[in-house]
Amino acid sequence: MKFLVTVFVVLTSIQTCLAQSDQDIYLAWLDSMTSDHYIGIKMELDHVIVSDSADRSHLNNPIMQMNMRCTDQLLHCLPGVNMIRRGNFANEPMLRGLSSDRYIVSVDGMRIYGACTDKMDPTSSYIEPINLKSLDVSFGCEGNMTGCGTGGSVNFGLKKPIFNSSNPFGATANMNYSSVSRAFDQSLDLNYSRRNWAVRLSGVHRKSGDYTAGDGQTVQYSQFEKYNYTGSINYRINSLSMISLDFVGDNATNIGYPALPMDVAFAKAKIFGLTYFTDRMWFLREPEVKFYHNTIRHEMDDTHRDSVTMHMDMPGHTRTTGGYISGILLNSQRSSVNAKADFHHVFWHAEMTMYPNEAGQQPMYMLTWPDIHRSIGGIEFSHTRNFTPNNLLNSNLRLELGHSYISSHFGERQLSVFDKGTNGSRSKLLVNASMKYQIKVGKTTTINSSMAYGERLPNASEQFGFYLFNQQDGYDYLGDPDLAKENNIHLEFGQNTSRGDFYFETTAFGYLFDNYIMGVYDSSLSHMTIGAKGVKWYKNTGRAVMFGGEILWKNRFFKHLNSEFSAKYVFGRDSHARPLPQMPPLKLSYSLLEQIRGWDFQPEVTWSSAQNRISEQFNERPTDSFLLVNFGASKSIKMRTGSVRISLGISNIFNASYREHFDIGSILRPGRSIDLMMSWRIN
Amino acid sequence: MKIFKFISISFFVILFSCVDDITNLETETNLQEITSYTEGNLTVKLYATTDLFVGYNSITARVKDSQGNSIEGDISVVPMMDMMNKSHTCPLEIEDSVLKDGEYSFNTVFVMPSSEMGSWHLDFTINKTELSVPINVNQPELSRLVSFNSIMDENTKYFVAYIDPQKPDVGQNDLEIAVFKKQTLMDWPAVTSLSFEVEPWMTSMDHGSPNNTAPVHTSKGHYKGTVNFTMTGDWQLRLTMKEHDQVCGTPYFDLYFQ
Repeated sequence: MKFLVTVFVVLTSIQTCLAQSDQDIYLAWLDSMTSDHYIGIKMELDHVIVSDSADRSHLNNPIMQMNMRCTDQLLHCLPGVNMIRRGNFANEPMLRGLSSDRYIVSVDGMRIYGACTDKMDPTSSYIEPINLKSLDVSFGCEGNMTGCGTGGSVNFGLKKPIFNSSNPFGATANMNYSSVSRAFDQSLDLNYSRRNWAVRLSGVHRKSGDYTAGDGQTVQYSQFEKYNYTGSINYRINSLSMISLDFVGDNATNIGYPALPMDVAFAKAKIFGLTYFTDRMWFLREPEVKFYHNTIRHEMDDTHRDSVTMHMDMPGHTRTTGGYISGILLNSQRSSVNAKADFHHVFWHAEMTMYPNEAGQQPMYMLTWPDIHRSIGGIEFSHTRNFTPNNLLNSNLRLELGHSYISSHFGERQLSVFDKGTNGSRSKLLVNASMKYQIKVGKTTTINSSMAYGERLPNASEQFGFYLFNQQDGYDYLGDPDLAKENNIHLEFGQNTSRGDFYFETTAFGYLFDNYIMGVYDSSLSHMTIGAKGVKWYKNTGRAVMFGGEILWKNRFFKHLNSEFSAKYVFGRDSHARPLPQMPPLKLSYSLLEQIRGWDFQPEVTWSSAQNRISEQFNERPTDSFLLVNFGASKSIKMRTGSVRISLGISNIFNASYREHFDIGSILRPGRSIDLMMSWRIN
Repeated sequence: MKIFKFISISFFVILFSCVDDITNLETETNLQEITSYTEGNLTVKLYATTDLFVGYNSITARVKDSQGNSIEGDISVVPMMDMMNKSHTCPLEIEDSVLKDGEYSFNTVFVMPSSEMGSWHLDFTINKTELSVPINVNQPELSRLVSFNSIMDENTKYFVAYIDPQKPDVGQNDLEIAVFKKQTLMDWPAVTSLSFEVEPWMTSMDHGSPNNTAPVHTSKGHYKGTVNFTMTGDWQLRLTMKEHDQVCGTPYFDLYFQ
């Protein structure tokens, strides 16, 4: 099933959930360009940026309301999404148990690749919630028109400047304090518009100390500080076309990663995008043409650690340049075809210099990402057909050509160690295809079934990585330039019933992977990293199977009390019928939202079962079950020129000492925290 | 006239190509002059890629008469070390004993450096004229020759000389070593019946490298294999030497490259 979950979808009623897609938003937005008051984005803005929302009647996820300090927390609340922690910063989203190796990440449709070989900088760490317009998550082989993957996709929609002639100036300011890590956050968001142009500027500063876990221990090296700054301009060329320029800069420094042997000195991102919208171009309707460029620089740092066996410098950077054109090819009452052609080029470089402790010994140097280039060109069609208003078929086809090579002589020499000379570059054709059928049964129930096939290229580390140490299982990992494509057949079946204040949704899915790429221990190789257990090659391991499901039940009791229950579970096994690593166990969550006299009260209980299905090859340990209780209260005060909102939250009230199964290392998650939030809004 | 032109042009072409040949020999092969020695009407100049050192050296001798003409004929060479109370030679590899175009190339393994204790000279016999060319042999910073008594048989002394890689680099490198033993002071035969294991070792991190090929005997005591280096830095080339599947020694060579 084409399961495009956008954040506002999660928050708003479910009817919108399945009917609304990115495309609808886009159309609404385009329509609104002709009017002075742009409503589409404003709607979304209210819904996504929960912290500065004035209208919260439909919002009933307490965490959503209380703790939306960072993008991590926003993602965490989405169905089917878990967050892998390495520290208190830059958690890595996991879609139904699949890590970022397998899904496509984009920012406003722009492809972007982290620059850390240890996955310390997932793209979500460079985006702040204050800049988010929408968050689109798709699962399995259903790309949301961004690329070929086997695990889905995440797209962070960036907030655009708003045209508003009656109120040309708008501003939002937020302040947060979190006691568990003595963290202060400040953010400012400004919008100004004239007749033909509008500009938006925002800045965020976040600083956090070490946090305290539930056992009362301070988790050393979990501090961080970051600045995020964005600017975007919209210029209306005429009533039907517009140019938009976006810039996002992010600069994080002194980031601790308690679960890893190293911290990060800095992580810097610069993201540029230039977009042109118009109503018609050749045969395309409502086309969007975009060019983009982004660079990420990342440098690890072990100088603050007490016991370092060997000092190392490990800088890395990526550079991505690309563009696309997308639009509607055909649109009739019954049927519509969207198309997209895209291209991007990415360059990865990461190196490691090791400094021996003994005097007289020379430093050692190697390329861990040996100047890898990859060009990807793709073409995608999406066809939707309404047989009857209650009967809908959506099919999607994407063809992609990926071409990878190494440009450094040193890198080629390294590969010659394994007789993997790369003089030849490697080209592969990828196919992603999906079909979804949706039928409405009776007045209240909708049934969805979908089938998809997807393929993906091995990522930089899997194909060309050179002795990358993985703290999780303690092995050095080697890439294999000759890896085959991984593919996945994705089946999904779901229903949802909506009747008045009652909403119930179930989803069951199955992934059948072939050529599943995974590290396989090779006893003939000796490890490079001091203290490592051995060396693993990334290999196509044959068939892996994953299945699981999600349940969502919402209800409104009386007039003021909303409740929400959710459950998620994933089961995975590899080609030898052994458990796959990092599988999230069963997780249940129940929350209430009581609204009395302008106050919101939100208790929430989350329970996670123990995970005893562990991957021994991955050196996993069983994880205990845990129970978390959170509580939040908030109040909005309307003022003449805007509003003020004050929130108070206590998360992990009983100071539970816990970790999630997929977290890296044995670091505990934060204990009890009192969170204060104030938000001013002027418009 | 046309014929004359053709001949003269051809002559110049041939002449200049010959001149090119002579200069190229030194520039292309990176040979440098080690020493020049004149005795009677013979001048012997020795060429090698580096100064002579303890280990495997390839030497080219150029012999000319007092008029500067290249000498042809028979030639033989014996490297000799004169010490206080004894003299000895060292392993020597020669193809033939013909001095052609005044040039003669041979390989030898100097087993010790020149010092106050003793000095090296190359004893040539050129067309029955004997000539002793004194040379200087240095101890290189990184040892290129390992000698040891066999673990199995204390009376056998092996000399393992490092030949390749001359310029080790990250990635795959061809490995070549040569092994000799000291039979008598004047007899240093090649050892052809050995087998090896090889492990390049990064000592400062205590790890090896993968996918190496143990050197096997090719000819005249030379053993060839491949070794891999996964990073720059200080590497140690560790060898396990076996005779009849019994370990007889574990020589190693230190390498460094950036």
